[in-house]
Amino acid sequence: MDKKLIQILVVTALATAAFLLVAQTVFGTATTTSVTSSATVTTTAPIVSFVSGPNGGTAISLNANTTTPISVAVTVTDYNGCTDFNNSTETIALFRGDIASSSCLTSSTPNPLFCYVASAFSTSTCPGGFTANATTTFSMYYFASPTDNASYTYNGKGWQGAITVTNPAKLSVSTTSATTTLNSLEAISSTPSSIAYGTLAPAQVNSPSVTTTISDVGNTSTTFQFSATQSLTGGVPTTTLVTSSQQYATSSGFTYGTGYALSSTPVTLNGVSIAAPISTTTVSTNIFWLLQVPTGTPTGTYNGTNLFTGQSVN
Amino acid sequence: MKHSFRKFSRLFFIAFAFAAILLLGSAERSLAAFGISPPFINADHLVPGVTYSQTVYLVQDQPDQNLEIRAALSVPDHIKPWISFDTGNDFIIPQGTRQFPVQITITVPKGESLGKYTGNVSFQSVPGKTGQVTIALGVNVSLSLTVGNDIYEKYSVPLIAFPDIEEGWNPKVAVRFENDGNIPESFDAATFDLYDEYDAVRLAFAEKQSGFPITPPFVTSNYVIEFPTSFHLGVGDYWAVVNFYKDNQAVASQKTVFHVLPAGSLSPTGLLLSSLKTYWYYYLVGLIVLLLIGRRLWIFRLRKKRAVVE
Repeated sequence: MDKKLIQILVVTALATAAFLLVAQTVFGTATTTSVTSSATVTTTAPIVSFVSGPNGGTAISLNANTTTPISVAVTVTDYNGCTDFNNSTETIALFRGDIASSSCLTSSTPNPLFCYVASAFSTSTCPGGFTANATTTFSMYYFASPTDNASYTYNGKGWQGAITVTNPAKLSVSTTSATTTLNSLEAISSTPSSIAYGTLAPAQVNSPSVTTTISDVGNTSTTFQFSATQSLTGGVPTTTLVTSSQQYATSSGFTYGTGYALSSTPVTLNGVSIAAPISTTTVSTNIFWLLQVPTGTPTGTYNGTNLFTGQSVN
Repeated sequence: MKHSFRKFSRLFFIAFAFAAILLLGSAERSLAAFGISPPFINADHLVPGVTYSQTVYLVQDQPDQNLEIRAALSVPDHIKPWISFDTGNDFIIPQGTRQFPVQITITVPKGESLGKYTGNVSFQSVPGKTGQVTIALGVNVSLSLTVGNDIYEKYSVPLIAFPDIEEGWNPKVAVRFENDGNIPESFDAATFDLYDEYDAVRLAFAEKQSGFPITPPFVTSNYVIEFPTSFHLGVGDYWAVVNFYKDNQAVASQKTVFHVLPAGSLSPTGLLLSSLKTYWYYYLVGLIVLLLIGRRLWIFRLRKKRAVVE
């Protein structure tokens, strides 16, 4: 009896299922209600993150007397897609760590000693989807503040990147990067590139003195050392003048015998240092040179090499 | 009238040319700038047996020709054998090079007693002759070395990046570890959280407790850490958060988007596999054709053999 009941129930269930299936197949379309759907896609603010500190997080070493390209890399995610990213505006800054990012980002006349601003990415790719990779390259001047020495004001502050991205719907976001150390740069240049004493007779001293101008073209204060790596040599028979035949001083009016005698080992010029430049304005000092040809020196052309060595003031 | 004007023009031209020659002839040639960055080495935490290296950059602003350089040490004789340059003492900065790296290595012998030493490394340019007295420019690197017996621990992680990977690969994290201390360092643990492209759903979590590269004292190392996960990463963008721990403290972290590219985008093997997967039917047809040709050749050779025997 129970077995039969179960059979009946199973058959009924199967029949009902078959009926529903047929009904759905045959009448399904007829019973479907047409529904209009709509949705409003809102604009989201972009999400920005720095890949690392400036220069890939590697300490920055600058070129002497010119600019150095330094890059900052960011990732920008805009869920409204690459079109939104491409139509966004951005301000990117590279600044010394003690400066407020906002003051650099909004500066109309940034001081290259501590702040650089760009209004567009140098390169960017948005390979589909909604995440873009972008890089901005700044031309950093040789005098930008170093942050790598305990005796410096800005030691340990580093340099940072900052960015503000504003999408077409005027939603904006700002962020800053980790810091990167800016290395000290000790660099000098000299004008002219040689000292011409002219034609002199034995015992004669050149007059006026020859002027050389030495410039600090790095970002540290510097002192100087002078020496001769090759004493004046020439004449027939070949003769080498004593190194101390050349004398130098910081005042143009010095007379031979009152200056510093040149030697073959570098000697620091005491009391003379040049402060680090803070702009492209040249910071330099003049050194004046006299030569007295020793008596008994044979006639001829004499050549030599003097070494000007810069020593950073730590 | 016309004749005198022509004469005047000619005289004016000659005077102008003469003045120009005088001016050019007396123009002072400036010597290309020469420098070093950084101009000091402060190795204050050396211990006996340790090796310390630092790269300094010789820089110039007009690299229009090869520049000969001589390096010289001005330090106590006792420590001279400790110091070496990867370039040797005499070398040439090639034309076109604005920044030339020189690695200065200091190796403190084992058993060395405590001490403090100062001195200079000087780099002197050797320019071609330019006049009676040629001016050469030089720069000094100040050395300050202290040999002690203390443990000095200092490190930083200036770079954590998520390199692009191919679909199916495990996530990877590139790390730059700067060890400025005098003992070897490494991370103890790391966690990796993987999120979907909207940074909304966490898809996977991975953890590492060992296998981190050890960075020797005074060395910067770059390495890649892989985070194996059972989650299959398909093509697309993902958010990831990585945390590195040392002594049970988070010491470095990064959160950003990374890209998963189609197989074969980054590796040649992946490219082959991807090609096989996509164009398998061509490969199959090619294989069948090759097999048929081989069979035909085999039958042909067999018949030829039989003909020779008969």
